Amino acid sequence: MSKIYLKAMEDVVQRNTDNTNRITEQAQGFVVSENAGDSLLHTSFDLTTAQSIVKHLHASFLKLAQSCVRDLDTDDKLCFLRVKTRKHEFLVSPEEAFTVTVVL
Amino acid sequence: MASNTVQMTFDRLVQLPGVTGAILIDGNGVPVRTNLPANVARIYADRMRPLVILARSMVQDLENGDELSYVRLRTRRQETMVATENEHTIILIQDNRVLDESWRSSVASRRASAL
Repeated sequence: MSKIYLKAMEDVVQRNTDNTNRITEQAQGFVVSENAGDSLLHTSFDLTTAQSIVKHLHASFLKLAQSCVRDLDTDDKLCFLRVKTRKHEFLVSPEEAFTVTVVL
Repeated sequence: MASNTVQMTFDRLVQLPGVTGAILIDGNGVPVRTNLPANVARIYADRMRPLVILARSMVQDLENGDELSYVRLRTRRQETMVATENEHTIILIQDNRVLDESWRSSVASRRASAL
Protein backbone atom coordinates (compact mmCIF):
# COMPACT_ATOMS: atom_id res chain seq x y z
CA MET A 1 0.00 0.00 0.00
CA SER A 2 1.31 3.40 -0.91
CA LYS A 3 2.47 5.80 1.77
CA ILE A 4 0.10 8.46 0.44
CA TYR A 5 -2.82 6.08 0.94
CA LEU A 6 -1.75 5.21 4.46
CA LYS A 7 -1.31 8.89 5.25
CA ALA A 8 -4.84 9.62 4.00
CA MET A 9 -6.16 6.81 6.19
CA GLU A 10 -4.32 8.17 9.22
CA ASP A 11 -5.86 11.59 8.56
CA VAL A 12 -9.34 10.08 8.50
CA VAL A 13 -8.66 8.19 11.74
CA GLN A 14 -7.36 11.37 13.36
CA ARG A 15 -10.39 13.40 12.34
CA ASN A 16 -12.80 10.75 13.59
CA THR A 17 -11.20 10.03 16.95
CA ASP A 18 -14.23 11.40 18.80
CA ASN A 19 -16.56 9.17 16.80
CA THR A 20 -14.52 6.02 17.29
CA ASN A 21 -14.15 6.73 21.01
CA ARG A 22 -17.91 7.11 21.30
CA ILE A 23 -18.45 3.84 19.41
CA THR A 24 -15.98 2.04 21.64
CA GLU A 25 -17.81 3.21 24.78
CA GLN A 26 -20.99 1.40 23.71
CA ALA A 27 -19.54 -1.55 21.81
CA GLN A 28 -16.98 -4.29 22.18
CA GLY A 29 -15.00 -2.68 19.39
CA PHE A 30 -14.74 -1.97 15.70
CA VAL A 31 -12.77 -3.03 12.64
CA VAL A 32 -12.09 -1.04 9.47
CA SER A 33 -10.75 -2.81 6.41
CA GLU A 34 -9.93 -1.66 2.91
CA ASN A 35 -12.07 -3.30 0.23
CA ALA A 36 -9.65 -3.75 -2.66
CA GLY A 37 -7.36 -6.16 -0.85
CA ASP A 38 -9.43 -6.90 2.26
CA SER A 39 -6.57 -5.65 4.39
CA LEU A 40 -6.96 -4.49 7.97
CA LEU A 41 -6.69 -0.72 8.32
CA HIS A 42 -7.80 0.23 11.80
CA THR A 43 -9.25 -1.55 14.80
CA SER A 44 -9.77 -1.39 18.54
CA PHE A 45 -9.42 -5.17 18.85
CA ASP A 46 -6.29 -7.25 19.11
CA LEU A 47 -4.78 -8.24 15.78
CA THR A 48 -5.99 -11.86 15.83
CA THR A 49 -9.61 -10.94 16.48
CA ALA A 50 -9.60 -8.15 13.91
CA GLN A 51 -8.04 -10.29 11.20
CA SER A 52 -10.55 -13.05 11.89
CA ILE A 53 -13.42 -10.59 11.41
CA VAL A 54 -11.90 -9.25 8.19
CA LYS A 55 -11.30 -12.75 6.85
CA HIS A 56 -14.64 -14.35 7.67
CA LEU A 57 -17.03 -11.41 7.73
CA HIS A 58 -15.64 -8.87 5.26
CA ALA A 59 -13.86 -11.02 2.71
CA SER A 60 -16.25 -13.95 2.66
CA PHE A 61 -19.72 -13.45 4.10
CA LEU A 62 -20.20 -9.81 3.06
CA LYS A 63 -19.29 -10.65 -0.54
CA LEU A 64 -21.89 -13.43 -0.58
CA ALA A 65 -24.55 -11.16 0.93
CA GLN A 66 -23.84 -8.52 -1.70
CA SER A 67 -24.16 -11.03 -4.52
CA CYS A 68 -27.40 -12.41 -3.02
CA VAL A 69 -28.91 -8.93 -3.10
CA ARG A 70 -27.77 -8.46 -6.70
CA ASP A 71 -29.23 -11.82 -7.71
CA LEU A 72 -32.63 -10.96 -6.28
CA ASP A 73 -32.78 -7.50 -7.85
CA THR A 74 -30.04 -6.25 -10.17
CA ASP A 75 -30.93 -2.62 -9.43
CA ASP A 76 -30.73 -2.97 -5.66
CA LYS A 77 -27.63 -2.71 -3.50
CA LEU A 78 -26.64 -3.84 -0.01
CA CYS A 79 -26.36 -0.81 2.30
CA PHE A 80 -26.03 -2.38 5.74
CA LEU A 81 -25.71 -5.84 7.24
CA ARG A 82 -26.45 -7.13 10.72
CA VAL A 83 -25.52 -10.57 11.99
CA LYS A 84 -26.96 -11.46 15.39
CA THR A 85 -25.61 -14.47 17.25
CA ARG A 86 -26.28 -15.83 20.73
CA LYS A 87 -23.38 -13.85 22.17
CA HIS A 88 -22.67 -10.93 19.85
CA GLU A 89 -24.06 -8.67 17.16
CA PHE A 90 -22.01 -7.59 14.15
CA LEU A 91 -23.01 -4.36 12.41
CA VAL A 92 -21.37 -4.18 8.99
CA SER A 93 -21.34 -1.04 6.87
CA PRO A 94 -19.88 -1.60 3.39
CA GLU A 95 -18.73 1.69 1.89
CA GLU A 96 -17.11 2.41 -1.46
CA ALA A 97 -13.51 1.85 -0.43
CA PHE A 98 -13.79 0.66 3.18
CA THR A 99 -15.88 -1.68 5.28
CA VAL A 100 -16.62 -0.88 8.92
CA THR A 101 -17.81 -3.50 11.41
CA VAL A 102 -18.92 -2.63 14.93
CA VAL A 103 -19.33 -5.52 17.36
CA LEU A 104 -21.91 -5.17 20.12
CA MET B 1 -45.04 -30.41 8.70
CA ALA B 2 -43.43 -27.58 10.61
CA SER B 3 -43.83 -27.55 14.37
CA ASN B 4 -46.59 -25.46 15.91
CA THR B 5 -44.06 -23.13 17.52
CA VAL B 6 -42.50 -22.23 14.19
CA GLN B 7 -45.95 -21.79 12.63
CA MET B 8 -47.00 -19.45 15.43
CA THR B 9 -43.77 -17.49 15.12
CA PHE B 10 -44.40 -17.15 11.41
CA ASP B 11 -47.97 -15.93 11.96
CA ARG B 12 -46.77 -13.34 14.46
CA LEU B 13 -43.93 -12.09 12.25
CA VAL B 14 -46.18 -11.59 9.24
CA GLN B 15 -48.05 -8.92 11.22
CA LEU B 16 -44.99 -6.80 12.01
CA PRO B 17 -45.05 -3.28 10.52
CA GLY B 18 -43.99 -2.98 6.92
CA VAL B 19 -43.82 -6.69 6.16
CA THR B 20 -44.22 -7.06 2.40
CA GLY B 21 -43.28 -10.74 2.22
CA ALA B 22 -42.68 -13.72 4.48
CA ILE B 23 -41.46 -17.23 3.73
CA LEU B 24 -41.15 -20.23 6.02
CA ILE B 25 -38.57 -22.75 4.81
CA ASP B 26 -38.03 -26.28 6.08
CA GLY B 27 -34.73 -28.08 6.63
CA ASN B 28 -34.55 -29.17 3.00
CA GLY B 29 -34.77 -25.62 1.68
CA VAL B 30 -38.37 -25.98 0.54
CA PRO B 31 -40.79 -23.09 1.21
CA VAL B 32 -43.67 -24.52 3.23
CA ARG B 33 -45.59 -21.31 3.94
CA THR B 34 -45.56 -17.88 2.33
CA ASN B 35 -47.70 -14.88 1.50
CA LEU B 36 -45.77 -14.37 -1.73
CA PRO B 37 -46.29 -16.05 -5.11
CA ALA B 38 -44.76 -19.53 -5.06
CA ASN B 39 -42.12 -18.76 -7.69
CA VAL B 40 -40.94 -15.62 -5.86
CA ALA B 41 -40.73 -17.53 -2.58
CA ARG B 42 -38.72 -20.23 -4.32
CA ILE B 43 -36.22 -17.70 -5.67
CA TYR B 44 -35.70 -16.14 -2.24
CA ALA B 45 -35.36 -19.55 -0.59
CA ASP B 46 -32.75 -20.65 -3.13
CA ARG B 47 -30.73 -17.43 -2.86
CA MET B 48 -30.77 -17.25 0.94
CA ARG B 49 -29.86 -20.88 1.56
CA PRO B 50 -26.10 -20.50 0.86
CA LEU B 51 -26.15 -17.30 2.90
CA VAL B 52 -27.53 -19.11 5.96
CA ILE B 53 -25.10 -21.99 5.53
CA LEU B 54 -22.12 -19.63 5.32
CA ALA B 55 -23.41 -17.48 8.20
CA ARG B 56 -23.62 -20.51 10.46
CA SER B 57 -20.07 -21.64 9.70
CA MET B 58 -18.74 -18.07 9.91
CA VAL B 59 -20.20 -17.64 13.39
CA GLN B 60 -18.49 -20.85 14.49
CA ASP B 61 -15.20 -19.68 12.99
CA LEU B 62 -15.38 -16.31 14.74
CA GLU B 63 -16.07 -17.88 18.12
CA ASN B 64 -16.35 -21.56 18.89
CA GLY B 65 -19.66 -22.43 20.50
CA ASP B 66 -21.54 -19.34 19.32
CA GLU B 67 -24.71 -19.77 17.26
CA LEU B 68 -26.45 -17.74 14.57
CA SER B 69 -29.73 -16.05 15.48
CA TYR B 70 -30.49 -13.98 12.41
CA VAL B 71 -29.05 -11.98 9.54
CA ARG B 72 -30.49 -8.65 8.42
CA LEU B 73 -29.73 -7.34 4.93
CA ARG B 74 -30.55 -3.68 4.48
CA THR B 75 -30.70 -2.61 0.85
CA ARG B 76 -31.78 0.58 -0.83
CA ARG B 77 -35.39 -0.57 -1.10
CA GLN B 78 -36.08 -3.10 1.60
CA GLU B 79 -34.75 -4.93 4.61
CA THR B 80 -34.62 -8.71 4.52
CA MET B 81 -34.37 -10.62 7.78
CA VAL B 82 -33.28 -14.25 7.64
CA ALA B 83 -33.86 -15.97 10.98
CA THR B 84 -32.98 -19.57 11.76
CA GLU B 85 -34.39 -21.83 14.44
CA ASN B 86 -33.35 -25.49 14.50
CA GLU B 87 -34.00 -26.78 10.99
CA HIS B 88 -36.31 -23.99 9.89
CA THR B 89 -35.59 -20.63 8.32
CA ILE B 90 -37.91 -17.64 8.17
CA ILE B 91 -37.33 -14.91 5.61
CA LEU B 92 -39.03 -11.61 6.30
CA ILE B 93 -39.06 -8.75 3.79
CA GLN B 94 -39.83 -5.32 5.17
CA ASP B 95 -40.22 -1.91 3.57
CA ASN B 96 -37.46 0.49 4.63
CA ARG B 97 -39.63 3.55 5.12
CA VAL B 98 -42.22 1.79 7.29
CA LEU B 99 -39.42 0.18 9.29
CA ASP B 100 -37.75 3.56 9.85
CA GLU B 101 -41.02 5.21 10.85
CA SER B 102 -41.87 2.54 13.40
CA TRP B 103 -38.35 2.73 14.81
CA ARG B 104 -38.55 6.52 15.08
CA SER B 105 -41.94 6.43 16.77
CA SER B 106 -40.74 3.85 19.29
CA VAL B 107 -37.69 6.01 20.05
CA ALA B 108 -39.93 9.09 20.41
CA SER B 109 -42.31 7.32 22.78
CA ARG B 110 -39.42 6.07 24.90
CA ARG B 111 -38.11 9.63 25.16
CA ALA B 112 -41.58 10.90 26.09
CA SER B 113 -41.93 8.35 28.87
CA ALA B 114 -38.47 9.25 30.17
CA LEU B 115 -39.52 12.90 30.70
